[in-house]
Amino acid sequence: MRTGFFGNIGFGCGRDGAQRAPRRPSARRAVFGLALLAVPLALGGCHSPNMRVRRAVTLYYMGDYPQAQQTLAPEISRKNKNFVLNNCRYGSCAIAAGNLRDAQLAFYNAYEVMNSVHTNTVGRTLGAAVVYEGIKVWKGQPYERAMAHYYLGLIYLIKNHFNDARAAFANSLFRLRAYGRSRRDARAGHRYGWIDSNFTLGYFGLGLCYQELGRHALARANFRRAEQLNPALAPAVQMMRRRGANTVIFVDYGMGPRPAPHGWYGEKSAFVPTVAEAGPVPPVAAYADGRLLPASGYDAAVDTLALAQDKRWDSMDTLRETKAVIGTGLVAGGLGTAMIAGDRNDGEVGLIGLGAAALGMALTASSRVDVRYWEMLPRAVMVVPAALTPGPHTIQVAMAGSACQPFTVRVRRRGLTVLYVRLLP
Amino acid sequence: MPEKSTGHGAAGWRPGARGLKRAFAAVVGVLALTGLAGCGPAISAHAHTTFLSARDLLHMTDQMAASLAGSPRLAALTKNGPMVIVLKRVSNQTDEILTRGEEELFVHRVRVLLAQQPLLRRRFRFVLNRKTYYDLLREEQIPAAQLGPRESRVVPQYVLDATFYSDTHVSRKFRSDYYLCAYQLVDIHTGVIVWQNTYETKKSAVSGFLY
Repeated sequence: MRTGFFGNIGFGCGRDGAQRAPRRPSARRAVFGLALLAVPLALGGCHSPNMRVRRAVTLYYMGDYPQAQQTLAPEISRKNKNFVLNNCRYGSCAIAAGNLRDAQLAFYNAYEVMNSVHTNTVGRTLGAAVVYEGIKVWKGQPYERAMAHYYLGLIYLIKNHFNDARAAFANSLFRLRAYGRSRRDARAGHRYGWIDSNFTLGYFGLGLCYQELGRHALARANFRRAEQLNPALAPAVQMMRRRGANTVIFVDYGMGPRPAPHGWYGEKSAFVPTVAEAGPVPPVAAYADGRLLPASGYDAAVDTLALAQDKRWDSMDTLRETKAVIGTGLVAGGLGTAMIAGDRNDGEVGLIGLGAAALGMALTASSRVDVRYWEMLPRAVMVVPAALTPGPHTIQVAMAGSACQPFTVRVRRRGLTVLYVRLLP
Repeated sequence: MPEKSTGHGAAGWRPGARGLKRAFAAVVGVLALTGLAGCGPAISAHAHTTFLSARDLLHMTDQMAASLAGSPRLAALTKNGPMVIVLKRVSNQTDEILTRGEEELFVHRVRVLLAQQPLLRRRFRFVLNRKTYYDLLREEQIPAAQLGPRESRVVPQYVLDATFYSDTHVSRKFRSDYYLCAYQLVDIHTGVIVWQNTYETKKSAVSGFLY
């Protein structure tokens, strides 16, 4: 009697099933079924942003920052895997709404966890490695971490708490990975090393802080480094250092990068749009009392699209790629084995082949990139310094068909007046 | 009578198949459990940073209070009467953000430790700084005229302050902070440092192998 190996699996699809007495569904089977059901649930159910977050993002890009902040408020105290991400989102809404207190608290929460280690429990770490990366506690891509520290520094700058701002900017300048340039480097084991950050905003912010703290040598060194990394910042730096600017306007423009995984199973991380796709950042025009400020019109201090494309700012794909390769091998090998076993009528080997193929499928499915990202990040940050007389001034900022409402600000007699403007595309 | 397993093509559950089924169930179970681990509370209780902690605060301020109390130079200076000291909050030169409250906590705990002991209370007398004092007068609506002659008021002679420095190295996977926390007691009129002490600590943290 020929019995295919499918008959041996025991789900009543073999010929012998008719001869056997009907089985009672056992508790073990029920648990097994539930476990099987839990896998896709665990894979798919946990990573999509909830409705509240989606609504907040929509409100944010409609320019209703206070409402977006209010919508996200219930999310920021939940210490779940999106704790840092939700606090970053909330901070973006709060700073754009002019609510510095809430923004500071949110970015401070993010700062504390971002600078922690062993943040994930053992189960979660294992789950992230075996099942799906998206279940780990989100700490962001390196450029997102740098931007979170920058916002915290900016809030302290606005409040003229220069020492705290200095600490925040210093934390945005963590070391980055530098890949070996040649195959010889790779063969010699110098696949990558660590290099100093090229996050221009961090150096510029540090320069501002040190200047206000009266540590002029350090201010000069940081401004010089910012200029070296981004020559477009030179006029702003000159204005800050030599022409006695007492006001700085930080302008956020556009939408930042979003993840677009590629590879067979989406295991390789990539971000879109690229700088070439999005085009150059338009020049900024800032007006004080109707007069164009002389430092307007320069290039961006930071372009997050460029940072996201830079390999030095990328996270490691190694684990995911390894899982994808092993998974593909297991699927191919397992199915091949199963087919050969089917021809030879070898149920046991066939079952092993099918098991291997199933494991391979699970591995490939779990090699997907974590697609959570900070939706509110701008495409570019522009810096416009100005020397204004102390007292009230009407400020307006415009970029490529987008402009903020004119607003009145009182320029400080002492210290630095720092303004933040968010422009949407 | 149940059919005995003979290998190929045999009906029913053979020991090999049962083992495979169990192994498959175990893999699925582990996958499900690890997957579901992602839906519970997330941030581990073992998460830590290289920042100054509450433990550092206790060690540091205990050490400073003991050093102040045991200093022979200060004992000589307080022989004829108490030192009147005003406190300044910590000057933070580290790469860690210290809130205003934290900056005050690191010096005020030293004050509290000294003030707790009656013997030391006779040697060290602490007064409010000028801003806090005038804010208090304003809040309590006490006019300056009621305070009596200026000469009769207590004037601080010394200032107790602290400066925290750090040497920080950060990459994506590693962070180390070496902290030097320097406390000093300065004679306001002469600028002479009459007492100083330091607390040093090095902290490093390496991210997990995977995440």
